[in-house]
Amino acid sequence: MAPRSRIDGNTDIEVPRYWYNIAPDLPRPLPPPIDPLDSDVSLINRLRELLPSELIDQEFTFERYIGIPREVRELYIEIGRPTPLVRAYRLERRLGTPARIYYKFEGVLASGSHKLNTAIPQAYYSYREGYSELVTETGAGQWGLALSIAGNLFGVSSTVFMTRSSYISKVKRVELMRKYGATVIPSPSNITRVGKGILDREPDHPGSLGIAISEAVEWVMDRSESRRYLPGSVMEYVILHQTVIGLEAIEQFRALDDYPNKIIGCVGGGSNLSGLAYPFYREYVEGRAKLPEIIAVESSLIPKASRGEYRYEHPDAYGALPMIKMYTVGRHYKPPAIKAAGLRFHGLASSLSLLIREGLVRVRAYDPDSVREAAELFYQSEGVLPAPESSHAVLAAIDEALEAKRRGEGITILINLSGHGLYDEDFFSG
Amino acid sequence: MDLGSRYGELGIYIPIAYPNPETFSRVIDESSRYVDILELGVPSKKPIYDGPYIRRIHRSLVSSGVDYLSVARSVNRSLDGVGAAVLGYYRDLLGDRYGSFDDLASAIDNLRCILIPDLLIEYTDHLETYIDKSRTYGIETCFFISSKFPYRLVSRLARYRPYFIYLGLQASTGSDLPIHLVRNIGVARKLIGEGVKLAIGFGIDSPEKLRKLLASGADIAFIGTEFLRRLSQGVDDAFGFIRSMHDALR
Repeated sequence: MAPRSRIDGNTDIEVPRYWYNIAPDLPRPLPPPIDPLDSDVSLINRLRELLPSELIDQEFTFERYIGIPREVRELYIEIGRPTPLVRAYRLERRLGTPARIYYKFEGVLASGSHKLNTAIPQAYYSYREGYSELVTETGAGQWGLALSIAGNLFGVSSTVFMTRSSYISKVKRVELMRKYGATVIPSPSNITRVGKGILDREPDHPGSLGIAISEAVEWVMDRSESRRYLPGSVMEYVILHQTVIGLEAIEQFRALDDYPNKIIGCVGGGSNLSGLAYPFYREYVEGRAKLPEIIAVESSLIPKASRGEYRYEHPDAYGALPMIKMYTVGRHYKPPAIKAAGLRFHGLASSLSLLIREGLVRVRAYDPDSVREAAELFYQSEGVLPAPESSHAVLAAIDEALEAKRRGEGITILINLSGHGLYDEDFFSG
Repeated sequence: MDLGSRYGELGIYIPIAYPNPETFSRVIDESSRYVDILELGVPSKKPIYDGPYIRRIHRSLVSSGVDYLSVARSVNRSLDGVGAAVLGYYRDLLGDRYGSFDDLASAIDNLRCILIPDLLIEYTDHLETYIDKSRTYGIETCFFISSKFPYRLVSRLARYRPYFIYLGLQASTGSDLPIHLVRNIGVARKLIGEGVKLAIGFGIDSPEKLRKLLASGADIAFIGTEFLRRLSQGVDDAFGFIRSMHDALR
């Protein structure tokens, strides 16, 4: 049999000219952010001092589609969009499944992950509004690296609070962020009141995304005239930016005359799965296609969706940001230092939580050993090393493909391979 | 009230019995000179969509143990020349044990509708109960929406022909985030059509803003936090402010 191209020339499509906002199409209203009941300070109003105005507006827009600024779209093209939709022929053969497995490979982007899709517009709006320092938190470093690159593109400096466990284990990403001029600080740190307080009590604290967010917020509040806080997930506008993934994938499937029955993505805050799946949800709402089964895959060690509660909680550990309604294990949850550090966040984006609540997204949780085995199998089959986080989605796809084999069903499975694992030197180290 | 050539209608929000029953009564009495509609707030232990300023007012009213139903009844006569709507949270109005929907609907003679901001966010399945209850008391319906509401739901609400649909312009009362409000009002207007009044509120604090927002497609604007802030400094200050808002609409 003649060899087949894995991408079938499907990167010839146009990069989208708009982002898709799912709120107008949700089955229920999205609960608004709130201030804690006992607070005399409006944390909601505090967003003015933290985020660029344009991003606040996008968070609360009533529009279904938001145009992508020309400068942002051009950068999307320059950094590698559209990303390929790859058919995993060799993995299919290895599994002996009749299922067709596709992965939307965001790992080809310049930073090695999907995070650049939102880092670029966030840096762009900050730059345009005159801010000179971008501040953020990062777990595995994918978001920190993406923002460092985006900041560098606009000549704006970046300060990244990186969870201490990852700062120690993801040496390569720390180095790469610094190459782009970022200041990378292990969190908890001794440069913020939040960090100092934690280190006083527990000098070896591994850190958490919740703590790193609190430190980043404090850092911005100390000089809000020149700094802006830019989050890598959870906010609805972050998901909005990530919808370029799904909008492209729809066009690519159209060219292939195929359509996914199942869409799978790992969930930290939820932006990569949402970015891929929401445009397909729109196709369903508008009556153009059936709704694929959407599967959110989390780590069994941070079981926010499978065992957490659906309630209001702060995104950060110290309650500096407004509360949002989400599935969460609670902001004080101390997540173990897993290799898939991007999944250590304690909650899920509000819209994704609502879809899970409504039964439109299913949840699955996997243990680290099974995930690593799946990543090895994928690597050996496809020659692509998935990031530890994305490997959760790979495992779910393998399970679904094997189930399809058992049933003899030729279904189509789509994974968001949100990043490669080449910078995760600790992934296979046990 | 002579509407003349007006940009739209003006309403104020005031929690029942604030700052005390006497002053509240005076505010209600005098307000018909300046406003078209009064939005009377039911004191709540959990006013989750309100900002800190209005929450403090709710806390003080709840802890004072004021009998707000009696106070509401006592101002009936003053409501003759002005429309009235009640605003309260689901738990306080339709909650199993403490719901006062029936009492309020009977207590206020000139009541047009009862607005429950969390009805469609947290208690969507109770929409029909709310509609039935409103019909039972011969009052109209009115609905709260935000920019995070599904289009289909907003259009469906308009088909109930409510007294108004209230678009919360900000994430909470008293907020002032840089949101493109004119655009959001335009979207809401398009969804509900021309036959239903579009009310707006949250963060309207100046005559210029009021005029601009009403001109962009809304029919009624409610002033809450800023009016209450002024009221805490004195009735004259509060009415001076409302007079300036009223004049801005001419």
